[in-house]
Amino acid sequence: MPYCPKCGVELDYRVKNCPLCTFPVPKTTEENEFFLEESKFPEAENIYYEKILKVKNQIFFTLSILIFSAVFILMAINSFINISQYAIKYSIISVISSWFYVFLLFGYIKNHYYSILGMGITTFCLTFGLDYVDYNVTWCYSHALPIIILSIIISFFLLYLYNRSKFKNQFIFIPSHLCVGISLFSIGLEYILNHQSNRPIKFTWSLIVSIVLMSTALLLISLYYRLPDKLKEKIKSKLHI
Amino acid sequence: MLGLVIYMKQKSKTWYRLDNAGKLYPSITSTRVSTVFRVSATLYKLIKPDILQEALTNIIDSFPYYKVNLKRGLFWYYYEHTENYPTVQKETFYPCMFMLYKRKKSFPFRVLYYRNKISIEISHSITDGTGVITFLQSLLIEYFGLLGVKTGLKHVLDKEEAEDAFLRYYRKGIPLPPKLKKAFHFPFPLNSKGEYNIITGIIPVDTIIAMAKHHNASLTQFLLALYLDTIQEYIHQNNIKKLYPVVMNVPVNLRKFFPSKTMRNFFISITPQLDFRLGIYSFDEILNYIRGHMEMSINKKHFNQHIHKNIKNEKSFFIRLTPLFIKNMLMPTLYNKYAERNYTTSISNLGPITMPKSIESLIERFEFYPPPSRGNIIKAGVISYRDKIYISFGSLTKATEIEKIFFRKIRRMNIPVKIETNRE
Repeated sequence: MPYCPKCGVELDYRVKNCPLCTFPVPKTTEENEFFLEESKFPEAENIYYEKILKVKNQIFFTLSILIFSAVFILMAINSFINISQYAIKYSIISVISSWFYVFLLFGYIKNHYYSILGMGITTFCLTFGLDYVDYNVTWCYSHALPIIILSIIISFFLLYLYNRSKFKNQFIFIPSHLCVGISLFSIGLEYILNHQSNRPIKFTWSLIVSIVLMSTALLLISLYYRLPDKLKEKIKSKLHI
Repeated sequence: MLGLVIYMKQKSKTWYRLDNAGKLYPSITSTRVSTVFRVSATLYKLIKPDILQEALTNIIDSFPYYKVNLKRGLFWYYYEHTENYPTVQKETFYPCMFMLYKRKKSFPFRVLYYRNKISIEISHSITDGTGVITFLQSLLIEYFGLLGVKTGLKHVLDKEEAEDAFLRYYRKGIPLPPKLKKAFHFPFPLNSKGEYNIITGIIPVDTIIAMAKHHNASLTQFLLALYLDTIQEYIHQNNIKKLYPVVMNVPVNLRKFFPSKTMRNFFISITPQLDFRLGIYSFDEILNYIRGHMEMSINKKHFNQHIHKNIKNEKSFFIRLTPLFIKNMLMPTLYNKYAERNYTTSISNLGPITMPKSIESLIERFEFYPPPSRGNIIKAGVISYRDKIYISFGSLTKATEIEKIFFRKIRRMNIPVKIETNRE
């Protein structure tokens, strides 16, 4: 009978590594037993992801039909009824981009960084389309593009932080990371808006938002780590009565 | 008119309220919290699926409370009798996986076969370990009967089997038991959804009972102390600083204390706990504590308190009037807050299984796998048959630290252990 030399437990002939400590099991002289012994468990299938994918595909297919029907209906309305062309074009562009959003949100792209990038590209195409309806690009490059790039960079940063801390307390880390993300975004947004409007670069409302959110994040994280001893001592010495 | 009345009477199906413990389970069921547990029997010969199907069809009518489909009411789920018959299936998935028993025409259990093994996986909403053992015993007796082995014993339906014994023994005006606080949880990453790992240790029952007696303890007390000692060793080995008390959930079969033939849920959990922040406990100290705790907890007065607590919630006017869809939304969070969060792990001992003499030697073993749970990612199930005891750890994580320390401790006592697993 094979044994694990580390755990001292008896094992099945079919087992190559000890199930308890993963130590390689030394071969025994009774090799023939390996062929005689049958596995106690079937080769288990995990149908969870298959089932989820099936349901997801069904929902996505239904939504796709609805979205493209909406596009055709809008195009038909455009050709038969005399209403504002702009309204129809805005609607068609929005409906088409919603299909891309649904595609990305359903997680068909496994890598989350690519999904975020896809969201950014879709948003840029949407804003470009909306701006280009009157064949005159005005706010898309100056305002939308920098804001989209800023959002993508901050989302990448948040995703990186989430991946690093996903096995820690999520009630602490997700809200604190979100606070940091929103503060950075509000500072960036105010900068872009001021810069594009040729106003002097001043941080007003974004500073208030950042101070509040950054302090919340700091509070949450320090609560989690319960402040380092050095800092505790310093606070004690400064504030002792 | 009379014809219509007769027709309506024929049409109206028998229905069962879910018992007190079972009421909770359909609302908290999810992919990772399947609330499905397994009891299996391994024979010495290959299973004949057609005979097994025939055996199941023959016995199911004597268990009418299992021949049911789950239905939604406005305020509670309920089980409705069905004229359909369950079918046996070849085992292909991980053990104790989620069961779509809320679907129409689905039974709250499945009978599986694989090579020499017959398994019953059943939702905790309909029965506990004792109920399913009786069901499996009847299935095996019928199976061997069809193969020509005479046993002379067949399950005969008793009206009392369908009762909610919690309600029968409920006494008003008893103070509630003290509330539990947050317990220590294993910090292991979870498996992918749909996967459940089992590690079973097979140990000669005489040797381990002798060791338990040597320590002046029962088998359950001994295993419980060993498990607590394992967790203590894990905490100290890994230098875990953020600690909470280690709380064990130990289900106790109430039928031994409150006479009932019920085949539905009738158990409560006792919760021995140790706080390892207080220092290192020796094995004898742990065992002394367990012995004392069990002596204090395993008595009618203590059980009455818990029955009172459970039924009080069920009888609450506010809870009864809350629509089912709201219960379904709130229950997983409440269950986590008031139950899973307050336990570290659980160990459930179904005890020794006996079979009629004529078929005893045709069955190699029985095994019991506990239901997977997101809150308590490692649980243990114990069962013994003839000269062996089978300790199965069901785990939703790839980490095997706990099982490793536990079985190594047994080996250090010079007790032989054989390990089997479904891990690759």
